[in-house]
Amino acid sequence: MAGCEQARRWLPAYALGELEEADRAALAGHLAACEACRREEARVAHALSALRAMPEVPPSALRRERALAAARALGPAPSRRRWAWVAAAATVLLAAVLVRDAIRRPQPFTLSVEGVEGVVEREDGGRWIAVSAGETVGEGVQMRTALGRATLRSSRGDLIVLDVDSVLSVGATTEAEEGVLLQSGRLWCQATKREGRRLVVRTPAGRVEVVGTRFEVSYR
Amino acid sequence: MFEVSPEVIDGCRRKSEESYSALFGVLERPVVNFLHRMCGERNLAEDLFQDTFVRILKALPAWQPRAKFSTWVFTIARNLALDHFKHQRRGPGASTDQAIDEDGGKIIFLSEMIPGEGPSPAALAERSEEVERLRAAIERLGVVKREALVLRVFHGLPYTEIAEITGCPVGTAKYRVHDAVQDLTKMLASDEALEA
Repeated sequence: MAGCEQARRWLPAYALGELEEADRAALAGHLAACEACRREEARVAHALSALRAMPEVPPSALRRERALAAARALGPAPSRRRWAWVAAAATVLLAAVLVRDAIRRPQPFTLSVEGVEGVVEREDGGRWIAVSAGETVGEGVQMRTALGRATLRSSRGDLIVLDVDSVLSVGATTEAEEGVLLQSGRLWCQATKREGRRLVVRTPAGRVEVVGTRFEVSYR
Repeated sequence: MFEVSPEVIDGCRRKSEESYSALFGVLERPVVNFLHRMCGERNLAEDLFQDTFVRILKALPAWQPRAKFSTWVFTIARNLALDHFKHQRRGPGASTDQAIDEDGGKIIFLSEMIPGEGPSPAALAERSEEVERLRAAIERLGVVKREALVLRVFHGLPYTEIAEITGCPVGTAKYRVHDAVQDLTKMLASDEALEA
């Protein structure tokens, strides 16, 4: 052991348990005799134990939902060839029926609550009441999150995640547009491909017309 | 470190939702925490984790098990974090507040029309003073030492893997970790001396 300088260089490896046995014994001998290096060794050990005690980000159901929604957007699982024609025909037929119905009876744009983390509230006649999964929110109704988050599914299939400390309401639906008003905070959206009305997110600072399938808007 | 079974990997290649869910279950804790320690902000770490997850699923069909799966995953997450840091340096026009068109279309930058966001009240509340001091110290290390330290101390990776992920020789990876520990020790000691 050459002295204090080398001892200081070895301290991180010593504290991480990486030194070879002979070097470890040599350093331990030096530390037993040198108070200044012992103090430094205690500081290194303290820094490492503080690091290891740092809290972890806990698992989140919302994060799972977002990630799996993004995974689903990569495309469906391949089906067996013999069912492909049947599935395609059924899809075309279903799409035709849906388009016909959509043309005949334009549906209002609503948001249904798929999941809630923490407390999420909606306005109800001047009061704020807790929102729970399964509820549907229509035009003009405000929702707010304080320390909570909400996962919402629009009537057109868009997935919207309202982040903490955010206020949102469903905007007015017109022939050309539908969407939400983010009064403050942040949202993340996985928009579905659509015909007809465009999806628009408004904020007090302006409007965002959706050009892609996945986007984020924040306004504070 | 973590392991993913060949069945789950095959299932993800076949776009099985059950396998996606199983893969998420394995990756969530290590990768979100790696990204959180790399960038210091939970919302950003969550966004980068999602990008990592999608990138992995897209690349899985072509993935060959030449390296360990965990090495490959950390490399993807690390590269996305570095991309983010590069964009940050380009100025406010390239912030994360942007609408992303995954189909290769137009990108709308919102940062010009919307004021930048700060940490949310919830994020502020969760940070104790000591944790905040540690996070600040880790951030001051710089990306190169930080990534090596995080991979070694928090994730327990061997130096060979750290070297592979960060693209440097094994000896350099080791030097960076030891240097980071010394820098961190000095920073924390100096913070405590200032407080005393």
